Amino acid sequence: MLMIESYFIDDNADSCQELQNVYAELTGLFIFITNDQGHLLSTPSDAEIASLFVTYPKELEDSLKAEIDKLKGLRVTALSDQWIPGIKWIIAPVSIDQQPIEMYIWAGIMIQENTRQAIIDHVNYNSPDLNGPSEVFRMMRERIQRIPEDQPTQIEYKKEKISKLSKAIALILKAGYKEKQFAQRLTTLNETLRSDTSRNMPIEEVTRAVLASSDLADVFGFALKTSPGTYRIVSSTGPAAAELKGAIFHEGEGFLGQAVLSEQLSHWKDVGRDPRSHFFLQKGLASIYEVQCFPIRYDDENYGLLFGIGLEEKLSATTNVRFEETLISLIGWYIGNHITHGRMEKQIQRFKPLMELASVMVSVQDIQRVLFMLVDMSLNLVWTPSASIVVHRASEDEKVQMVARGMESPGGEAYARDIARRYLENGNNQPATSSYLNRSVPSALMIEYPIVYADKTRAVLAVAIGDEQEGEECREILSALATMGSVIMKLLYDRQQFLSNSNRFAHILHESIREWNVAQYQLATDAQKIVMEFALWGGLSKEEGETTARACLMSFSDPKTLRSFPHLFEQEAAMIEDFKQIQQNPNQSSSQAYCKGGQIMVLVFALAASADNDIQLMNDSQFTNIDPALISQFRLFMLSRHTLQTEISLMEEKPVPRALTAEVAEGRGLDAIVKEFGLSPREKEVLELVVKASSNKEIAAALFISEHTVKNHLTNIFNKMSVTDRAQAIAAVFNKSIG
Amino acid sequence: MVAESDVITLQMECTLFFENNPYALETSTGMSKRLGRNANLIERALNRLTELSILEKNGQGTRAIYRYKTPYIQTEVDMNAYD
Repeated sequence: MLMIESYFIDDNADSCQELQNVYAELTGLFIFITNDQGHLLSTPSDAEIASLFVTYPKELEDSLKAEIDKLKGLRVTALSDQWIPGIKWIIAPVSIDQQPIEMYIWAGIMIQENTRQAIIDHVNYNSPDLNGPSEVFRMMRERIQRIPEDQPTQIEYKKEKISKLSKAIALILKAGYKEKQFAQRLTTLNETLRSDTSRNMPIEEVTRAVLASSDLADVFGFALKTSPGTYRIVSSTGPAAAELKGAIFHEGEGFLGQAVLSEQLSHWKDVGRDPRSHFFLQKGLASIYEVQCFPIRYDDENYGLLFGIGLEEKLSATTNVRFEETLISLIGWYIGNHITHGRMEKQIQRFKPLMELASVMVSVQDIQRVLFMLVDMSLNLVWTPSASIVVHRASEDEKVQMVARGMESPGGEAYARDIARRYLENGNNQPATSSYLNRSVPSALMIEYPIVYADKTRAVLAVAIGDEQEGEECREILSALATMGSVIMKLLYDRQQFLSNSNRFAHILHESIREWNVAQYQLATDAQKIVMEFALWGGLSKEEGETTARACLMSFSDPKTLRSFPHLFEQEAAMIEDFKQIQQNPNQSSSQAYCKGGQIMVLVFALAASADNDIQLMNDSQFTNIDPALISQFRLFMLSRHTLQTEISLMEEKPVPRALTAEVAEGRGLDAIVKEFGLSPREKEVLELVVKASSNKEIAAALFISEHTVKNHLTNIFNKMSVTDRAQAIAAVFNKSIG
Repeated sequence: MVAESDVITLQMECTLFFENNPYALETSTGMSKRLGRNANLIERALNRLTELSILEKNGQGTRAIYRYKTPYIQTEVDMNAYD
C-alpha cells in the first residue's frame, strides 16, 4: 500500500506549507498539519506554537493522536472542542480517492462570542486534570485572553476556508500519489511480462500475476474455450479462487456465458439480486456487487474470457478504472495473440516434417506401406494413443481392410464396420469431403478424414483426440496428411488401372494374331511365359518382367501402332523396336545401344523357338550384340530351369541325387575358380556377390567395407583370373559351373 | 535448444527406417550411426515412438534395443456383419 504521507516532501511540502501560511493569514488562525499518528508534518504557521512542538514533541503528538482516535471515520472538515470545552479547533482530514485518511489539518483556536469568561473559569478550575504540559495551558490561557470572540457565521466561514485548504493540499498530493501508483503498477506489469519472456511462464500464471495486482475488482478469473460453446475457468485470484478454478460455463448462460458472445467489454452493476449471480454464490462468494468481463479474441476468433467481480461498490477514480479496463482488454488481446501464436508454432513444427515425409511417400509403390505410414505418421503428428485407416480396396467387394494402432479387435473391427457403413458402402454415392467428429468409439473421440479419389470415398483415416478443442488444433495438419494419403493412393490406383488396361490391350492384340498365324501366336505365348519365369527367378524386377512380358505378347505388332495408344505402350514399343533391330543385325557388336528388355526378348525368343529349349543353345556365339553379363545371367536361369525340368522328368524313373540349382551351380563354379586362381576367402565373398549382379555399393554394404576396398578386391580378382571386367569374371564362373 | 520440429522430423525418420526394416533390432547408438544424428536426440525420438507404441523397447539406457511393432491389420472385415 502506498503511503500518501510519503508525498509530503520536496516541492509538494513547500507548496503545502505556503498554502497553510496563506490560509493562516486569511483566517487569523494558527495552522499545522500532522499525520494520522499526530506527528507534525508542516511547520506551524505560528512561531509560538512551533516552539511548543520543539519543546514538547512527544507530549503534543500523544495529545493529537488521542484526538484523532476519537475522530475515527471522519472524512469531512469538522469543529471540535473535546480537548478543552469551549475552545474550538477545526480539524480537516486530507482525503484522496476514498483512501484511508492519513493526514489532518489542525486550525485554531476560536471561541464563540460571550463564552470567554466561562472558558477561563473552566481552565483555571480544571487545569490539573487536563491532558497536556502545563506550559501549553499557560499559553492557552494567554491566548484566550487576547483572541477575538467569533460569531457562529465567522466560525463557519473559517471552517469552510480550512476545508478548501484541505482540498487544495489533497490535490497537490494526489498528483504525486497517482504518478507513483501508476509507476508502481507499471513496474509490476514489467516484472511479470519480463519473467514471462525469460522463463516461458505459462499464460495462466502471467494473467494471474497481472490481474492480482489490479484494484479494479476483488476477484479475477481467466476462462478458456475447451470445446465449441464450452468454457472452463483455468485460473482465479481472490476469495473463492479454488472453488472458481475448474468451473465450467456455456455460451449464453449467466454473466460469463453472455459476455463471451460479445466482442466488447461487458459490465453489470448492482447484481446482488440478479439470478445470474447464483453461479458465483454457489462457488462460495457471500455476495457480489458488479461483474466485468473482457473477451479474449484474436483475428475474430473467440478464445475465452477475463472477468472481474467486485464484492461491493467502489468509488475509484475514473482515470484509474479506464486504465485498468484498457490494460485488462490488452491482456485479453495478448492472451489471444499468445494462443494463436502457439497454435501456429505447433502447426509449423508439424508441417515441416510432413513436407519431408511427402517426398518419401510419393515413391512408395506398396499400398500396405502407405497405410502403415499414414497411421504411424498421424500418431507422430498429433501425439495420440490410437489411429486407424479403413480401406475399401475393391468396389465390388463386401470386405474392407483395417490398419490400426491402439485399436485392436474386437472393438477395432466394429469401428471399421461402422466407418465402412457410413462412408464406404456402395450406396454412399456422394463422396464425403470434410472431417467429422465421432464419439461412437468407447472412451475416445475420433476425428475422421475421408480419403477420396476417382470420385468415391475409398478410405477413411481416423485419429483419436482428447477433446473437440484439440480436434480444432490438429484439424489442419491431419487434413494435410489425409490429402497426401489421397494423392498417393490415387497415384497407386491410377498405376493399377494403367497396368490393368495395358495387360488387357496387350492380350487383345496378342489374341488378334491367333486366327491368321497360330505359330507366331504360340511363340509369343511361350516367350511371355519364359520372361515371367525369368522375372520370378530374379533376373528382372516385377515391373520389368511385366513390361517385357507384354512386349513379348505384342512382338508382332508394329511399334508405331503401339505408340498410337497414348502413354500406354511407350516402353514396350521401344523394346520391340530394339528386339527387331537386333534380329535384323545379329552380328553388330553394339549391345550398349539396345535396351535391356529388347535384349532379353532376343534371348527369350531364341529359347522359345528352339526345338526343346536346348541348354546348349546359349553356347552359340550368335548373340554378339547382347550384353555378356546378361547372357551369363540368362545362362544361369536356363540352367536352373533345365535342371528343374530334368528333375521332374526323371522323377518317375530314378531319384535325383542332388538337384542342380542355380545356387549349387554357382557354388561349384566359385569353388573351382577359387581353387584354380588362389582367391582369398574375402575375394571369394566379393566374387560371389559380383556373380549375383551386385554393384560395388551393394557389395560394400553387404560386406561392411568401403567401395574403395571393393574396387581393390575386384582388381586383384581380375588380375588373378586374367579377365578385364566383371562380365568376363561372371562368364568364367558360369563356365566352371557347367563345365 | 532443439526445435520441436527437429524431434518430430527425427521421429518420422526413425519410423520410416523401422517401417522399411520391420525386422531390424537397433540401439539408439546404432540408429545414431545409421542416420548420422546426435545419439541423445535419437534416444529422445525413439522413446517417444515407444510411448506411441510404434516401437517396442527392450532394456534400458544406451543398451536398450528397439524394434518395430507391426500395426494391427485386419484384411477381412465384412461390411455387412453384425457387431
